Amino acid sequence: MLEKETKFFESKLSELQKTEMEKFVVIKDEKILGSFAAITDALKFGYERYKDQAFLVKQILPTQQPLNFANNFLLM
Amino acid sequence: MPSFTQRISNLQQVGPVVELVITPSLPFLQTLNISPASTTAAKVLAMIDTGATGTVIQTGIAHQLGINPIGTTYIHTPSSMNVLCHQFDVRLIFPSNVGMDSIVVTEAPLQGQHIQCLIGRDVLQHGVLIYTGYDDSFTLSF
Repeated sequence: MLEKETKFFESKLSELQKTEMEKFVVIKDEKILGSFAAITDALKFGYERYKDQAFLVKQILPTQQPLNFANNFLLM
Repeated sequence: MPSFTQRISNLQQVGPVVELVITPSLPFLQTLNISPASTTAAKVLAMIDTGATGTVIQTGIAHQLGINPIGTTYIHTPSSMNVLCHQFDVRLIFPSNVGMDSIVVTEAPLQGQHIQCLIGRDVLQHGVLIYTGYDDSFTLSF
């Protein structure tokens, strides 16, 4: 799930960085459906539109930082 | 400021662990007109992990809650880089009803059956964590 949306987001990121910096965009399939100043508004929009289906919410930042884990709890 | 204190015998060996309840987020339940009392909940053992950028839930918990992903993120661990994982919007309820109504957590496989959740700095940034080593206790306030 969300592989298509993630690839689409990554392909559009440099464009989005010019106009939507720090906003949260909602993506479904290969469409950007809206951008919001707060993640709560982006999620609410997604739930209203897609109910319990998967959709992608991403914040537009200068660099997309991975999550880091210092311990060995994660099996990967 | 709501808070809870956990006393763990041999805190140094066991670590700052706490039982908490995970449910779908409150905004999700409200938008879909689902009563929080009737939703599925997962009771898990979590460890407070100041070495984790974000909060992680064990693979399978989101499926148990009946929720779909709302995000993806790459994670780095001591043994792997750039692993793509799903993210979910959930509610975390700590003891004494201390909690967060909506927080985006990452789903990933955690080792063994002991810990099913890591509470990372995305949660801790909203509160105060006091680790009282000589007393084998810790307190978390939001």
